[in-house]
Amino acid sequence: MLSSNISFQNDILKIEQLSKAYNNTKVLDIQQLTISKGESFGLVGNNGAGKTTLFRLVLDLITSTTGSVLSNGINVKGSELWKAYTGSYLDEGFLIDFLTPEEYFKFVASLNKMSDGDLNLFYERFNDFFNDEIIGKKKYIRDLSKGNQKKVGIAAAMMTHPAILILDEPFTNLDPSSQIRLKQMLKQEQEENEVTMLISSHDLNHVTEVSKRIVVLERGAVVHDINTTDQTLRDLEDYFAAQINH
Amino acid sequence: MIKDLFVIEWKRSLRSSLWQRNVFLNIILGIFILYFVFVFLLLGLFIDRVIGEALEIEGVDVIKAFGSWLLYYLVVDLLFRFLIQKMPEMSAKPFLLLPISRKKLSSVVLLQTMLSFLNLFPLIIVIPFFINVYSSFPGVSAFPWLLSVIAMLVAVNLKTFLLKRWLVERTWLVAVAFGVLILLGIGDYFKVVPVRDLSSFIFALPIDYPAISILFILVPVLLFYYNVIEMSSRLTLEGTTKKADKGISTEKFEGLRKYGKIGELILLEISLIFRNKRTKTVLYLIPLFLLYGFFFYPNPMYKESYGWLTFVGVFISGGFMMSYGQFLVAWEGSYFDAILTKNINFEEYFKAKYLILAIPTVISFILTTPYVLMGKHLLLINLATFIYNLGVSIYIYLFLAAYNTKKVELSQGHMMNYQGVGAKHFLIIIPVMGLPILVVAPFSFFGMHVTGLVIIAVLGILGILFRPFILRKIAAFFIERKYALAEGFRQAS
Repeated sequence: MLSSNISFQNDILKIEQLSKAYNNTKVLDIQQLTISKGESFGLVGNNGAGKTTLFRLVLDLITSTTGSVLSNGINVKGSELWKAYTGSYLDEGFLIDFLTPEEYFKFVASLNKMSDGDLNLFYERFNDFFNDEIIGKKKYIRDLSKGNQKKVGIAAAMMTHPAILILDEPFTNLDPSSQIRLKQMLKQEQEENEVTMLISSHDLNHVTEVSKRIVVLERGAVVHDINTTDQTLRDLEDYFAAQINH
Repeated sequence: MIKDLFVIEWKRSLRSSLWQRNVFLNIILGIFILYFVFVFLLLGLFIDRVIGEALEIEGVDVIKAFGSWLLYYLVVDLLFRFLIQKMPEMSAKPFLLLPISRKKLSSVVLLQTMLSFLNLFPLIIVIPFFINVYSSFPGVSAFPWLLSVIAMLVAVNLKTFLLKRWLVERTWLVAVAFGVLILLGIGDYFKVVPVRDLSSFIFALPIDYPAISILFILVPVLLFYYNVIEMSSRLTLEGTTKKADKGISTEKFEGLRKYGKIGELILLEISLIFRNKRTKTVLYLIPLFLLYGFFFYPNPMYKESYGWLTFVGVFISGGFMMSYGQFLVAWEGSYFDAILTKNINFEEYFKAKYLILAIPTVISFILTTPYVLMGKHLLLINLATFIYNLGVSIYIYLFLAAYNTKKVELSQGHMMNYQGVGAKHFLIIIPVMGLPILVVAPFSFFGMHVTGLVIIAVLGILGILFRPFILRKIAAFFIERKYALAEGFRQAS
């Protein structure tokens, strides 16, 4: 696949002086954040902390007020190079809902010049995750349940074994078995393909399990940046519990 | 309680998002509606004289001649309603959980449909006609006749719902029915199938035998009760939510995949058009554009005004562009983030978009070549404007599509739907239509219309030749606009 032909810098994503303001209210303000190749990066924070805003900036879906995001050394703004090696799923806006899942996968596969063989491997890989509810149902994506829509979006993002994978709240709306399966697959991607993974979640349990590094955002700023240990989950729970008493 | 339901319906139409648009658009719509009311009223006021003079008949024969066309009218009305009228069940949905009997609820929403525009328009013709010819009715037959005609108009309204329920959105049947109707019309013209005689006979019955009008009135009454029974048995949340439609398989277009990303993008657009209500209604409008020439080309009044004829020409082959092209990006509003993040580059994206607008334009041009039978100069006009559309208009639409930041709700079909439409969509007509007229009209004034037409064709050819360059410019412009578009599309409409 395309991403395998590109040589990647060690600091695959560099965020510098990045800020985003709406009507003079800053919703995101990050001085410096570097994510290295193969890192699994978990983003946590309460609603409005700026998680989705950060992801949208990395995907060049919104313009930053100041600063820039460098993907493999190139500013994502105005560049289209990153699209070849970045897989992402933030919300339903990433799905083409009047296609069947198969048509959608085929569309994405063909945009990335994947062969039919590659596509079959993909179906094998996701067979458990889809749990016979997605393929061959002759249903449009718009007629699937929320959980199944999410599965389609995540699978399409992971389809090409992208060098960078960005998922916003991937565990919500999934049933427990699918959550477990997804965690397995994410770990597998890290081990086998050295994927650089950016995941946000409200579920501290899941996110600490799949991420080696956790960043806590609060009102747009990085307040904690830690490597995951056995202690991390409890620390995070204490941190968020303390927020209530404010 | 029934009064409350009517009050709610009244509030619903007053507060409908239809009015929450900018003033300009409301004024334009208002003018449209007034124009139609005016035209229909004129028709109603003078139709008796028109019929009388054309057929050289008077008195009761005029009424019978009027009646001979009613059957056609009612059938066409039924077909149009089939396309544009919404099922009344939809408006009953919020009341399902309230303690109102199903029968009562069904009756109320059915009665509400009687107040729609579609039912009031024919009255604007029928009632003035009736007043004009009132004195010609023999004996006591005047009101029985009027009641019979109105009963039939009401019956069509009620019949629409039954038809829609039986045929479940199989819209292609309407096309078949229109075809059959045209054949019947031709047969009628050559006196093979006496449709008009039948119609005349039916609507003469209440004149000759006034008591028969009771049978006419019975038709809508029975249809009403039948509708109420049908509806109340289906009035469940499940029944009112839209069932998953089977849509249209795009398998026969699979071959497009051979052409790489551009083919893939065109295939996507075909699915977009055929699987969503709103985009499908755009397709239904195309025949109207193709036939537009019939209104102007044969008219001796416009014979020498080439500026005006050019305008018509731009319309004929550019109909698809005009109704689809302006929303080219907005159609994709609901999945725009996918377009921006998947591996698509914008030059390819716009190459695909160019073809999406160009192919139907070419087809429209080919379909309208028979206009040549009405005059060779018409082919010249159609050809010049066709080339102009391909080489100039198309880019204007592509360019302006990048300004359309309001997402179009794809699932909301039916005509006269203006969601996502702004004043600029009307202003666009000025550059697209105005330029060719400005070029052709002065030349035509000096009798050199051919030179004028050649100039717009040359403009078009230049546009086609410089396509790669222009598309690259549009793509570059689009990259700057994409944030504003994505932002706009993300907002709920």
